[in-house]
Amino acid sequence: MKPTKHYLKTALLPVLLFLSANAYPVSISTYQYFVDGILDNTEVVLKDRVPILSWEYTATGTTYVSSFTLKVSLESALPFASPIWSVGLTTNSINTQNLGDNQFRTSINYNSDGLGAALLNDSTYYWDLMLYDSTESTVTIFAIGKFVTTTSNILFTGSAYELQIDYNNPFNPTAGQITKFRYKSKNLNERVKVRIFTLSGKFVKTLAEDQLALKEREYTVVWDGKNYNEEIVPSGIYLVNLAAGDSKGITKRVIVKNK
Amino acid sequence: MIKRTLTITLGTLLCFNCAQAGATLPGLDFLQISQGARATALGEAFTPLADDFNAVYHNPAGLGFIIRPEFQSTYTTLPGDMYMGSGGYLHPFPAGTLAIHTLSFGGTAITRIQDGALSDTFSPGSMASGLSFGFKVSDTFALGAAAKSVSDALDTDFKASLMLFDAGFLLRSKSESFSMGYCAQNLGTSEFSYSGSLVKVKTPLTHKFGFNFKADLPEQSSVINFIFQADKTEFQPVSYSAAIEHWGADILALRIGYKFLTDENSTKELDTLAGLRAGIGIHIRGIGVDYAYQPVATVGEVHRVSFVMKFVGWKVKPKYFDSFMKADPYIFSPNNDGMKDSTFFLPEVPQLTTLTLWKISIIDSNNIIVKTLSGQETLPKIINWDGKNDFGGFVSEGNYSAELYIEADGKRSQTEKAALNIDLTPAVLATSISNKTISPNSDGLEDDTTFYFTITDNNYIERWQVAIINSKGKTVKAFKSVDDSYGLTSINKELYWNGKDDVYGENVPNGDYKIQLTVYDVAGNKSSEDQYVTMFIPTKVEIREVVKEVVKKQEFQGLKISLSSEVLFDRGKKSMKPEAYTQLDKAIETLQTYPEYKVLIEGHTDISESKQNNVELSSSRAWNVYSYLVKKGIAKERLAVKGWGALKPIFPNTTRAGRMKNRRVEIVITKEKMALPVKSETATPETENTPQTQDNTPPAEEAQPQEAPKQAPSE
Repeated sequence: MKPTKHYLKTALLPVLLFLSANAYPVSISTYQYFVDGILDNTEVVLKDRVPILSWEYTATGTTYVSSFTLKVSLESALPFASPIWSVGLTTNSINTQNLGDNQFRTSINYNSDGLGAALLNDSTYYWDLMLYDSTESTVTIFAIGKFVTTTSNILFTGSAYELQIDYNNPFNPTAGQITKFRYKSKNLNERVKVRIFTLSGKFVKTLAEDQLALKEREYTVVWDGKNYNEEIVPSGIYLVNLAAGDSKGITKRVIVKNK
Repeated sequence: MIKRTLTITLGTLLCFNCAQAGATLPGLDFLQISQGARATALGEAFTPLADDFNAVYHNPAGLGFIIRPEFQSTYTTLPGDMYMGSGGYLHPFPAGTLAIHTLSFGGTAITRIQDGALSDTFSPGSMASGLSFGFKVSDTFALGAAAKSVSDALDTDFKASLMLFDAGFLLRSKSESFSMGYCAQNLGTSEFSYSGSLVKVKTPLTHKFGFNFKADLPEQSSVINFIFQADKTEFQPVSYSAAIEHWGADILALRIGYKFLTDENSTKELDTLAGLRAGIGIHIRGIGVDYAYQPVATVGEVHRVSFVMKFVGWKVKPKYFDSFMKADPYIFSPNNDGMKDSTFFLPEVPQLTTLTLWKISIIDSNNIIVKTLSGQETLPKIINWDGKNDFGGFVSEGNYSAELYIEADGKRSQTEKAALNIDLTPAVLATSISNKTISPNSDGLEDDTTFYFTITDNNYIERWQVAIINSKGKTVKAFKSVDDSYGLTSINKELYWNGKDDVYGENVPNGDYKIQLTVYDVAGNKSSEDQYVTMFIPTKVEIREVVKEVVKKQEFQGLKISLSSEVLFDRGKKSMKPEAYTQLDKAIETLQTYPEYKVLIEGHTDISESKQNNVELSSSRAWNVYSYLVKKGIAKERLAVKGWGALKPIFPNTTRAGRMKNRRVEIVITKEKMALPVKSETATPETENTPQTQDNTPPAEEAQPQEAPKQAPSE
């Protein structure tokens, strides 16, 4: 520690104490909405589960975000005239994580109080979030969020992390068909890779590169049947692999039928 | 052949590498999954080795070298709940080895999902069954091919079946320390489509090329293979493999290999371990288990287990039988000199019932048959070849080989070629001699001579002989080679001769002798070279003999003592040698016996020098003898001196011996008596230079000197 810096700090300390005595309202500089860990998620699976709504923000100031209100509606414009779920909660260590560098993430399950209506498949929903700081005098209004629900028949039954092929298997990329890979880490937040290989182990394409998969969310990636060179791969059996951490992960077969 | 193949193969690899840009992936990827635990553990580099059943998957040419039947089955677990089973049987026949093999690929059932809706399950699966055949073209070269019926069922309504072919070659040195192989796989159809589909799929045309180096270390009970291979599948990047296999005591095999993909995307996306293959094998009495571990990209791991059974007790019965043929002598010289002009072939064959044909082909170093000897029904025990080609002319010098071919009992013979060498060049000789004249009288001067010679032959020397031959052509002394000279290509030797003959061990008579070296090389080619030596011993015995002889013949002049200049003088010198005095003292004795007769001292030379020189030399020498005689008390008045030069030769000057004899000093005791001062009146008229004819030896036999002059006038 340089002495000058030390003296400076010592000299400024009374000033800082004076400033902190006066409430300096929280300021939100960045914010993002996620459903199941994905921004503007269009693949929100509802089967046997509820989506997890979360938002991440950078907050500076002497006060902190102490509560929020959330409204979900089928309406695309504010203010929502008939929200299907409306909730107001205080932030706590259970629903909010300090990510460091003044970053915070708050997550709640949809309809956690059971007072809202059930979400419908294949529908587009909008959400409106408001944050309040600890003085409760300042209100920060956020822009509108959006997510799309989707039908899925697959089930996650494992205890750790899982990969399932959804939507189309086999599929025909020549006819414009796609397939979806859904994956989930049950207990841990994991960095994951989703890649496609040929049967003999040759690399085809990366679909998710070191993506952060938060626990209990369901993630979806779509494969259009093209390789890294954007060429449609020939008909055959391909391997889709979910690798989490150092593990070899999970490998499933996906069949391409070009017709 | 090897070079050309190499060029073509590398060229092909490079070409496909260039054409790769923008290409798509070929289908039927399951065909690119390595088969066999052993081959896989070796980094999938098995094309140049191909020495067991795995040859059917990596290079069918390798089957050609396999002589025992073999069974193999492999089970492979693959990521994605897949498995693969493969196996087959190979059987060697005299013409080559045939293998039948099948491969089945599948996995657990997959639940069909169509637009998110789950329905039935389906099981994609593939099969490839085929026949492979490999055969030897020569001891070191084999070709092979395979036909595979491939079917791929991706779905119940999405199937394809087609025929694909493999072809390869394998070059393997006789010692097996080096081999090189090439295989092209999935030939025959470049594209196909699945049922109900219009989309064409490319077949995975693959080229594989590699080298293997085998180190056989019997002391360590180890065999080590070092394998290098390059693989190129059309529209895919080249891959390179390197592997080491160590066999301990032919039981335990440890294998490690690495397959390196040159594609940027692959190297970036796959971890380094993805190229690794490793394995272990335990084989006892032909039965073995091999295991191979392979990490497949980051996707998972592949485990392969192969069960191998080699029928060690059984071996293909060849359509050939072993025979042997020797050529004796194998080096010979067909030049009609009576020495090794032909060779004999001695065939050794097993008991044959019916011989239909025998044939010996003599092949030159350019592999051209120069002569064929053949016959039917009976194979002679000895077959002679006179070195003539099929056109009746003699074949030229060089290396040849003779190959015996027999057809008998429906089989053919397999004979190692017998080496032949035709050598028409005799040994090259070089000779020299230390003393050209010898006088072995133990005076330490020129008592012996040394004969040096060098023999060099392009093959080797069989024997040599050195003969010392007298002027009548009779050998007086011979030296012969002993066993230690035999088989050498070069000999350096020196022989010492002291003038003794072989029969009596005595000095040979004076005269000229020829030293003749005669050499025979292994092919019977003779060469010889001569040197000459002169034997001359001027002993006292000889002088006396000479004196007597001369006296008898030189009647008209009187008694003559002839002294060789060789004894008296050094060559070309006037002054006398010390040993001359002994000889002269003997002459002086004779002179003193007849004090009343005049003495003539005559010097003679040969014609070697100019006339003037000869006269000068001869007179100088005569005067030197004169001086000595005077010094020894011979009255000056008795003596007269004359140098004749070469005017009076006693022998022809054409030979060495003749010339030597002509070089002499003669002391002649004339018939002319001294005019004694006392009885000058009586003596003077009697001094006539009349030759005495009747009495041959007057001075020696007549005791009274005075009687002789009395006789002289009477005649």
